[in-house]
Amino acid sequence: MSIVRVEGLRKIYPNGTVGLDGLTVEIGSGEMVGILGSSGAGKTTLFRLLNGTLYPTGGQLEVLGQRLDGRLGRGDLRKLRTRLALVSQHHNVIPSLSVLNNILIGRLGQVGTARSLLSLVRPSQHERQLALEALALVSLPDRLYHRAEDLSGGQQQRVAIARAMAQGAELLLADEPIASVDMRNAGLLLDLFRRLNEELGVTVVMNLHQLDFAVRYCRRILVLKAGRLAYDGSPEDLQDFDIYGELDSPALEEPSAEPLEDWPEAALLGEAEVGELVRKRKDAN
Amino acid sequence: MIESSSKTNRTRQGLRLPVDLSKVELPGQRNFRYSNLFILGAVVFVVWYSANGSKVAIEPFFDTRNQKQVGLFVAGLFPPDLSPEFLSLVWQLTVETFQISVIGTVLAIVLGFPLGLLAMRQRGEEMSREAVGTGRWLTRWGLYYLARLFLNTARAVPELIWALIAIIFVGLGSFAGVVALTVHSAGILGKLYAEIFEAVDQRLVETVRGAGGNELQTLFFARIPLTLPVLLSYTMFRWECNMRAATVLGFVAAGGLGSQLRVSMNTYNYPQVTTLVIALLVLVTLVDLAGQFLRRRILDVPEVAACRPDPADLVAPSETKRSNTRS
Repeated sequence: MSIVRVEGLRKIYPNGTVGLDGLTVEIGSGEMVGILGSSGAGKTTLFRLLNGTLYPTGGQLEVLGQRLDGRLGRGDLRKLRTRLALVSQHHNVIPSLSVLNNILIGRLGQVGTARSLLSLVRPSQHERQLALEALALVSLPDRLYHRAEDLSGGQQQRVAIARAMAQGAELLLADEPIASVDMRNAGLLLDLFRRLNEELGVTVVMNLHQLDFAVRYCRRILVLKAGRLAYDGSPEDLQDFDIYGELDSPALEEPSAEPLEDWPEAALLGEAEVGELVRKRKDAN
Repeated sequence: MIESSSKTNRTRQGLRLPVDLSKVELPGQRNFRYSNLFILGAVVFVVWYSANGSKVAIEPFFDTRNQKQVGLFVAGLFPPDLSPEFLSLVWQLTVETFQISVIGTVLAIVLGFPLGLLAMRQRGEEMSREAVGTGRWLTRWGLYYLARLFLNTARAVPELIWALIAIIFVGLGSFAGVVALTVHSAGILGKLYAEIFEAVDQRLVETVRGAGGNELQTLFFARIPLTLPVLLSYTMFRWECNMRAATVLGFVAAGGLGSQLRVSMNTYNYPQVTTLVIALLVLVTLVDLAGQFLRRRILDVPEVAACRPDPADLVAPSETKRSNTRS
């Protein structure tokens, strides 16, 4: 059963910028898909279309059996959105709200309006328990009552992921979920996504800039280039695919030195940790 | 324009660039428009024209006849009238002015807030006509323009005129003042609330909508928490304005300090005027202090006060039941 069906999807913004230019792809239930592509390739546009925040200017788009086009009413859209969770790249948490209330935002579509407004003032024990569980999944349980703005950027991103966990969605859309998260927690979060996918059958579609992570965690890789699909296949076959050539990168030259073990972030780690990671990767190969 | 030279693929320090700068296209560059000079000239003209029309000049301040009048006026202001009878009257009137301004402001919030919500533009493609349906879309924008029209009218007509109109409806006295303040301030607060809520980061609004939130939930989970200090500041400032306005309203017999201020002025009882002005000053300062207190209270809470943990809640998951969810 396919959860996302996209055919000839086109999105041209009112100012003429081309977001997507005829994308065709199908994602089945229970898949774990990684999307790669340089900045401006249309990844975020795709996520915003899947979430119903943007409407296509051409082509077909079907998410969880629901046709998404300009004619979908607000009521149906809200119902659909309770079934899919989106973690965006930035601007994910309301800074002046507590972490607890930020997590409860994930459930807004599932509880009555009156109940949800009451939870701003007096969250019930059930709601606190639920938020605490979600927060523990991203290893931040002691921050339940902090203001979101008092947390670091990476921690805020993890709160956003906790919000998506609390939502209990069938489809998780994550737009660069680990962009501002430290290496250790990035691994933990992707492990969490994998468990979500394997144990609960949640379909995960995420956009990663870290090729290494994408190859390790996703069983299917999509590469977007200038709003079109440039690669669709297994991470193993990606090795034969000239990804740097295909990426529509503004850096017009090949970097002269290879990043450390294909993994620029490794530069942030200590020598021993890098050594261990390299050994692990060699063992895996 | 980018200077074209033979070395456009190197920086001035000699670093090699990945691109040839002479071949880079730079769309979107805006050139200076000479029509801007015309606008600047028009602004200068309007300022000059206004100064001319309102007879702005420095000479009247140095006119000896005027200076004599000023001397008499200033000398008359001191000492202030501190007789017990007058002070008790001033106290009564001060309390009345305070009461008018409080009720006027509260009613203005009650009226202005919903109108402000109607007069707020909701952004996002999901708000388009196709998405919400033509009927609802027309209703929404109809209400939008109606609310704007009401707010503009309420704002355009000054309190003093509203007071004169209110006197026709409810008769002389402080209630007419309350009505006048309510209508005018609702116009101002409604407009301010609309602008403030519109200016909220759209991506945060989308975060709440994206989780299935409706517009009311978006208001309470994104728009209000993100703007609370500003909302509070403007509302408190409006209260302060209303305090002064309530005084002026007294001039047209709509109650408060102003009615006595007019009587004292007309009877050239300047010591009384001084006392009344001091009372007004004290009142406005007190409002300012109250506002500061409230703002600090909201901004400085380290945690959301209402969400203080009750440790007993969190250790007994077995007791977690849905029946706890009161709604």
